Amino acid sequence: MKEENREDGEIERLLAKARPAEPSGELKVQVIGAARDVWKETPAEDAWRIGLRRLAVSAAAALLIVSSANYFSNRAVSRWHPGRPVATRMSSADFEDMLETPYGPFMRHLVAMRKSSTPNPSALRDYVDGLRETLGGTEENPAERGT
Amino acid sequence: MDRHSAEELIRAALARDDPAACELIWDRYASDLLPFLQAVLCSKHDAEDVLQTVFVRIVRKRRQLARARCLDAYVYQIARNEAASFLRRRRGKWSSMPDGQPWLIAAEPGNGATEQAEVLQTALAQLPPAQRQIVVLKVYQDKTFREIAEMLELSLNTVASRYRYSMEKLRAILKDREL
Repeated sequence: MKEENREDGEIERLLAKARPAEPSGELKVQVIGAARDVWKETPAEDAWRIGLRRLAVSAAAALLIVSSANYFSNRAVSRWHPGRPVATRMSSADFEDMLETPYGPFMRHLVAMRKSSTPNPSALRDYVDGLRETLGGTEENPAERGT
Repeated sequence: MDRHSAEELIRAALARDDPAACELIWDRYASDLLPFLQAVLCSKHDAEDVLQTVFVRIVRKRRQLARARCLDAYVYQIARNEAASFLRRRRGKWSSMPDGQPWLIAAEPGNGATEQAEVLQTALAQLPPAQRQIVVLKVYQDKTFREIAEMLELSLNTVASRYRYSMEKLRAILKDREL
């Protein structure tokens, strides 16, 4: 460590034999002249104005992001919008075509869900008829109930 | 005038929006910024051009400068950015490569002093700019590692290790030279 420090010291002493050029008086006049010209041309902005501008830019950016997100979201889900149930409106021929599309698996799932939630009309009719017969039989033979 | 009173004067002039701040900023920073830019760009002429751009940028951003927590860091950040964009432009233009004009001059005129300065300039030019600027700030401007770290917004360890690497490299370059 000591050896390294000593060697660093030697390099530093070597480097100190030269030095970077200092700014000249001519350069000072030129640079300050240019800086003063710019100073006159550009009035300093008030802090509140900078803040207000940043706020406006942020608000505009937020509005743009939210609008874009809404627009693209609506576009993406419009085909599955609840107001337009695709499965009930499709004819069977169209439905077969739909199954070939990239979202076919989703359509199959949708149709299966609808089928499972729809009551079977013939089974329901049989059930109501059976119930009616049972009730009718009971009303016709009240004596049998008493014996 | 010490560093803190110079900074206070600059802040006061900026608060008044007084163009006299230009001279105060020059007096405080020009003699540090020019060597720094020369070290980054390896050219006296280019460094003078960029120094002017830096001052123009400082004037345009004078409100932000007035509010800056550390004036040194803010000024050096502008200088680094301007030097970096100058280097990007220079890479695209073959005609404006470093002009070869010496930016390192002999500290004391004497026998062979100019040749020595040339050798040292060539050696420094072989360092990466990030290391070269630390050597210049440390050796020629007597800045401490802590001050350099604050000015360049680097960690103390980064500054120290870059300096260490640059010393090793300079030692290897200058080993065979008779200086």
